Amino acid sequence: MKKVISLILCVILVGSLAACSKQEKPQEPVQSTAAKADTKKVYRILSGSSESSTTYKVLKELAERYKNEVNPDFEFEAEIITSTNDLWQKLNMYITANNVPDIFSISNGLISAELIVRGELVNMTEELQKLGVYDNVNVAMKDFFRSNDGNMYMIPSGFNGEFFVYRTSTFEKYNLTPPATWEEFLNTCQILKDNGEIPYVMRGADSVMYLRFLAFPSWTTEGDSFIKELLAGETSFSESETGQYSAQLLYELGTGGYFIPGYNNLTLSDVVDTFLSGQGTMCYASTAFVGKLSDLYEQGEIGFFTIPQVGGKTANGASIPTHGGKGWGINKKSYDEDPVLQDFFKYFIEHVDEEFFKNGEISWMDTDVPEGQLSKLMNDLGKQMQEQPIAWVSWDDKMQPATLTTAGDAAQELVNDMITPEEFAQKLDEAIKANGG
Amino acid sequence: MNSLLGRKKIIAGFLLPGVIVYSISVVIPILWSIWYSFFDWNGYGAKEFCGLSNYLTMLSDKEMWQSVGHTINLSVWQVVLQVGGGLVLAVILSRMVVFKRVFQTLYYLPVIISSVALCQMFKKIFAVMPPGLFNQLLSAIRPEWIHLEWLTNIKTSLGMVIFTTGYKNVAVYMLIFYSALLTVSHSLTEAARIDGAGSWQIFRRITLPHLKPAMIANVILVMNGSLRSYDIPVLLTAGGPVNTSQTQALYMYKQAFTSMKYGYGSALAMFIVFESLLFAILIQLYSVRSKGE
Amino acid sequence: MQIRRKKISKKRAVGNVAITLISMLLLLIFVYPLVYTIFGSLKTYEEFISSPQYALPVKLYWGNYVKVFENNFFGYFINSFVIAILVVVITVVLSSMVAFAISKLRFRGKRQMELYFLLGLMVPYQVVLLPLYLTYSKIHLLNTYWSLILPQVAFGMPFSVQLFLAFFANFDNDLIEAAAIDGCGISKAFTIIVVPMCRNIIITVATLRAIFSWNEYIFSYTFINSKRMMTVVLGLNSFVGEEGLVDWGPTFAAISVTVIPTLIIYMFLSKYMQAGLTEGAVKG
Repeated sequence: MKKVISLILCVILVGSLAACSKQEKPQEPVQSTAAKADTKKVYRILSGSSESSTTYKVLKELAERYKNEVNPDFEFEAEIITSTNDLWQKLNMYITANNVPDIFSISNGLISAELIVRGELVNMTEELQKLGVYDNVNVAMKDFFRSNDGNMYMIPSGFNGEFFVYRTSTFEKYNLTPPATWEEFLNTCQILKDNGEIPYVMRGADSVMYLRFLAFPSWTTEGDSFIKELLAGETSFSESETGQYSAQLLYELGTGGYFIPGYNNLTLSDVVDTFLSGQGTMCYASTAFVGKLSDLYEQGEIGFFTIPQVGGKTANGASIPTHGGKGWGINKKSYDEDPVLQDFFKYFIEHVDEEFFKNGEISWMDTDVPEGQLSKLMNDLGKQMQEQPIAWVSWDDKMQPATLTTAGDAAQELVNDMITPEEFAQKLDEAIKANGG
Repeated sequence: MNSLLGRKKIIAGFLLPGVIVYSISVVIPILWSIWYSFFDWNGYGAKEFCGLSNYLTMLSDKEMWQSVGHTINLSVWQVVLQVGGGLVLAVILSRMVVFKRVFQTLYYLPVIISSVALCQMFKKIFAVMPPGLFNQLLSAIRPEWIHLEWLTNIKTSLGMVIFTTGYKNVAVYMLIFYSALLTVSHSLTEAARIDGAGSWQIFRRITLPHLKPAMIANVILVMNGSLRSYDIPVLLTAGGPVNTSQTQALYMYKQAFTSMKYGYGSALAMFIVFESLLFAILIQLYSVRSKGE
Repeated sequence: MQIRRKKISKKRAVGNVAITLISMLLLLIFVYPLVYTIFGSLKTYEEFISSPQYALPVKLYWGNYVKVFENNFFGYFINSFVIAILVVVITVVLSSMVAFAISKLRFRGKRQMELYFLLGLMVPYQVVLLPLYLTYSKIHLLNTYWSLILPQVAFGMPFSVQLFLAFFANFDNDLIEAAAIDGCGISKAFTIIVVPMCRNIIITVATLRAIFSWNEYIFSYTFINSKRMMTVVLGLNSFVGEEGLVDWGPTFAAISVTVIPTLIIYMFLSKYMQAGLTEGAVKG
């Protein structure tokens, strides 16, 4: 019996050693041998946008058109993970196992930085220049997806803008006009509250909106320099004027009693649905919801206003946060070896505008919108969006994941009056120090 | 005969397949994880050896100890709800005169429904905006109760996780206790009844001691399972507002896969294993001691 | 004497009524959520948001079910089914063999072997996710049935081995001796005599493992990445869109469709399961 036990132990030991040692050497990517072996390759897509989103529809439509019109052998398989956290987890696992999909959602942040260093992302600036369309790409979008070396390594998955929506009848009732500064915004909330109205339908199911409010003041005055300096340790949240202002703003918003009861349960789409069902006076929306909002806009029942400015400080012209969503990245190793993938990309770029207009949205190229194709709301928004000097500066993909989690949790505590603005600033600074960013 | 039972080829033949599958999928990965726990690693970059520093960080990690508290809180309640509740249900079942089989099967329903499905159902039932079933029913008693928050309230989110976990699993233990109840010796209970003992006395003096082994086994199973609790916290509340319903396993998962601190996550996992071992040893000591009495 | 009998039966009668009422209340608590789900799956979207949640559907609307099957649910069923069957068969075979060896065969280190298999009970599944993922990725096992079957079998073994061990503890060795003396080997004795006698335990383990495999989420979620390989449980998330927006009608229909077959099968097997638990699970 001793023999059997020792045999088993040997197997386990050898197994563990073999496994551990394999980890050290970089592995040959699985793709290259497989791609040469079979001609009918199935392209893998990892999408963070749901099947009903414009982003995914555009890609799917163009893939199918490509298959019908150009190359009948073009097959693809999509994996859709709509929860952002889960999406990055899966992508990280693919990267760890050297199993990166061919086309995948990726944002301009830490993961892409790592992939660029490993040479696994196609340089989009070069490719778009080769196709002669680089100059057409919207300025803010180029800015949004610009990585540290100045190039874009992903293309936008759309051209989204965000804005505040308000009920015109309620505003008229109390002689209110859309607020231009944060002081006016808080004032408006107060007046509405005093008159028994629900001022603001807040997205409280997660901390994304809280982080937006924290970021608005610095974005409208300094662009991205604040967050960059903050994460590099050159300034701190507690000691900077901007930091203190932002924390104070979120605190006053949260503790002023301006939020709709039950806001802790509202997700992004819940907010719009709730607002549309007649509750609340103001809310935050994006171009993804233009379909639901456009009729009311045309009838004059709702209006939109852009991000309030910081009173007394010079504005930099940024007023509508625009972003390209999660971008689409292409696996460089697949791309370089595969003329079919390159051809598909060319086809995609040539027709992407058409598909976006078909879906009622504007594309990320500064193409003129054809007359009468989009709704009035999209038209009005679109014009302002195309003129934005800078893109939205997202804190989400710049912070270390652990810092982001801390910031979100602390923001929830701040809004629920569990900590003071000073304590909030301190927590954030400590997290940045501890996590290196 | 004995030599037959001792033949090595036969022993190996019976043992090896199971041992190999088990070792490859459970034991070896655990060994890897122990290895990773001594490193600072984000999953795809370079690994940096850092010795015991992950474990030291753990000791001063406030959020970690909060999650330990939540997990132990949850586990103790599960013993009450699943073992205690299971016993109560088993007794009720044994006293029923009609539709026994139907009830037995239908009580088991929550066990059969997957955690994913159950949490989706509960999220809708306990929703606040728009009001779900539960609040709609409550508002018939008092209208303002339509705004009550269950899953997203700091005070109640852990309670909801506890309730849901107990709800899902209690029938498993009900079945085990019921089977055990059936084996209580009839002649013994009849004799006791003739002697004038009341139902409660019979229960206390004869039935309960007979159930003791099953009870201990169930407590072990429930504690072990609850210490690792992950599915329901993540699917029902995602850890809850300000992490009030975050269990250890959930915190470990977030550290390893969301914050990309794989080394630290592995250390946290080792702590969970350590807790289970500690509990197992304590139970062993208890049962050895009580057997000696 | 007669008076005493009357008193007892009156007390018992009241007790019976009370027990029946309590059990019906409990039944309501355990069963109503599924009933609510089934009703919800038969409502249209407008009905769902406008009428009270506890209302019955106005008309039977099958559109949600159509959506569910359009979404490849039939394929998911087949995947889950195949995986569950393989998991059950392999777990039963391996666990019974291991338990038999530990219980009946003679070797040193029996206790250690038993403890070795108990380790699995203490380990949270997430720990093994990344190591297994890396391993499967290297041997091209990702996105296949085996990537799910192997860990599900492995993690099911501790509990199953325990159940078999408890059963074998009470098993009469004389039968095995008799068979051995008659000239058939141990393996034959095992297959021909021992296995048929543990029918109830096998059904118990099989049922528990089948339910576990059918509902298994973590491994499926991590190792499967294409729609055609998804299991039924992963399919439940198909109707969850971005930012947590859920399409409730199809989701409820999907839940109903996955629960009902399992419930029916369980109803058939519960008798054997109970017998199995009585025989084996009450370990001294």
